[in-house]
Amino acid sequence: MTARPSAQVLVVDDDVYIRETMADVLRDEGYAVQTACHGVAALEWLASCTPALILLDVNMPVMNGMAFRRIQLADARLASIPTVIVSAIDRLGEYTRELAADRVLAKPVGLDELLAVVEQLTRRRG
Amino acid sequence: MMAEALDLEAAVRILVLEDSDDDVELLALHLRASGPPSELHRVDTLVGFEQALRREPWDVILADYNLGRFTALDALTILKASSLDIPFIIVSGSVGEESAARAMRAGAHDFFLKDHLARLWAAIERERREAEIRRERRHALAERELLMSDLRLALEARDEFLAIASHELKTPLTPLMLEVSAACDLSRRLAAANPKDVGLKRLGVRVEKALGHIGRVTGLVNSLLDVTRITGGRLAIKRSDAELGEIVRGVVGQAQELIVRAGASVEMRSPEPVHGRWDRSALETAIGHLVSNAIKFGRGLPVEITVESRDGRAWVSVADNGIGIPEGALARIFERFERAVPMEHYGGFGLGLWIARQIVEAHHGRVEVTSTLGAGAKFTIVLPLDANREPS
Repeated sequence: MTARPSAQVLVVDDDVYIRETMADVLRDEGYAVQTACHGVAALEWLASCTPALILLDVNMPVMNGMAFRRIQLADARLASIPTVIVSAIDRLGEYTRELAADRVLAKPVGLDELLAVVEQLTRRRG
Repeated sequence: MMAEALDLEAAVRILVLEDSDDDVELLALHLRASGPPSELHRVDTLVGFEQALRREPWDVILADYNLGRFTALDALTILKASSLDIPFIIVSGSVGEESAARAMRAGAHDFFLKDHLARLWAAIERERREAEIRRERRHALAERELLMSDLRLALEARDEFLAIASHELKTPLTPLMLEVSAACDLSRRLAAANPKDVGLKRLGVRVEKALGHIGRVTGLVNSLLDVTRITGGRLAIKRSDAELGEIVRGVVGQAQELIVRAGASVEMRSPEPVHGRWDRSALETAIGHLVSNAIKFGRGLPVEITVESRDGRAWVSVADNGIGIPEGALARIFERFERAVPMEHYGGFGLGLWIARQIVEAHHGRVEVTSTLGAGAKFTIVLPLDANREPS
């Protein structure tokens, strides 16, 4: 809807509705969005792409957010991509350090909060 | 094992441990002549005794003391090992005081000399009743244990269910909130571009209200999670340096929508910064419950929040001018699922104050309340400046 420089955002969440809604609202704001349903799918796509930001769920099948972060942080190229944890897990704040995330958003996240964080972290890079 | 009722009609089942045929005969004559119907079974070896114990239930055991190669003490050891609770009475030809005392200490219930059996039946009946009382007590204890363990399991299952339910409810709430927020933004933009379109304006109001309702659902889901965390003993207080005024301002900021909708206003008085070491997010939850209560029950009248440091402690008070709390309800409003008002008029789980108190007490603090019915309530949280230390 609003024309903006199309920074690319990767949304990783096993819930199809969350994935699609996040992609929709971000695309409305002019972002280019790629989605993945778990850590392995995300890593497959990341093998050839470097988005400006990753929005990452924690509880996912196949490969959860924690495992994804460990692999991501061990790879210099991937480690530099800002990553925001978006999760409904209990005491989310306590995982911030373990997940070494740039930001943590508790589900359900408000639109303004989501857009503000995405804008801030994609602007910082570009 | 089910306790058997004492049946005084049935023949008394007596196990006799005796090596002398004559003595068994005399004992049988005495029992038959002076008491209720009885059935005697005689054994004269430890192996026979053990087998008899295993084979059938006995009302009483009558044992000689000296049985040649063993004594009544050996029989008592076997009885104890079987964990059967059967009255054990020694009936001996001659027994020294010392042996009698030793036998009683080993668990014998009484002892008689063979030529003084006048009170034997009375003793048998008394010991049977005692054994029955012990059986009933054991049965009641076992039943209570069973109930307690069922209760524990049920509570664990409940907490686990609440935790899962809370997590699962947040999953669909996430896209719902995003969709409705996006619709809200869109209708606002459209209304701004078409200021004359009354329908668009109304749509905007509707969507905004829907968003508020989603916020309420989110709050309820979060309090479910808080309950499981507290009852599951997972309310870990993570202290860090914090300023109480800033925490309260954050809470008031988050409640802005609620405040506006209630037509209320919040005035905050925080004369100076109050620094301490607390769990910021837990305190936000606790103070949040007090603030949302003040707005919910405040009849749209001003709410006053004071943050100050006094007597080496931090004080936050939230005072409203609302419906107030009946005196009789003051003590129970901090309990779980309690409320001072009828459910049909004010929603919620009745968990807010309970959660707030748990959090504050985990900080070694306390929550106080004063209220005048019809004129408002004032809740005060008192915290030590360092949650690690008890206030002096």
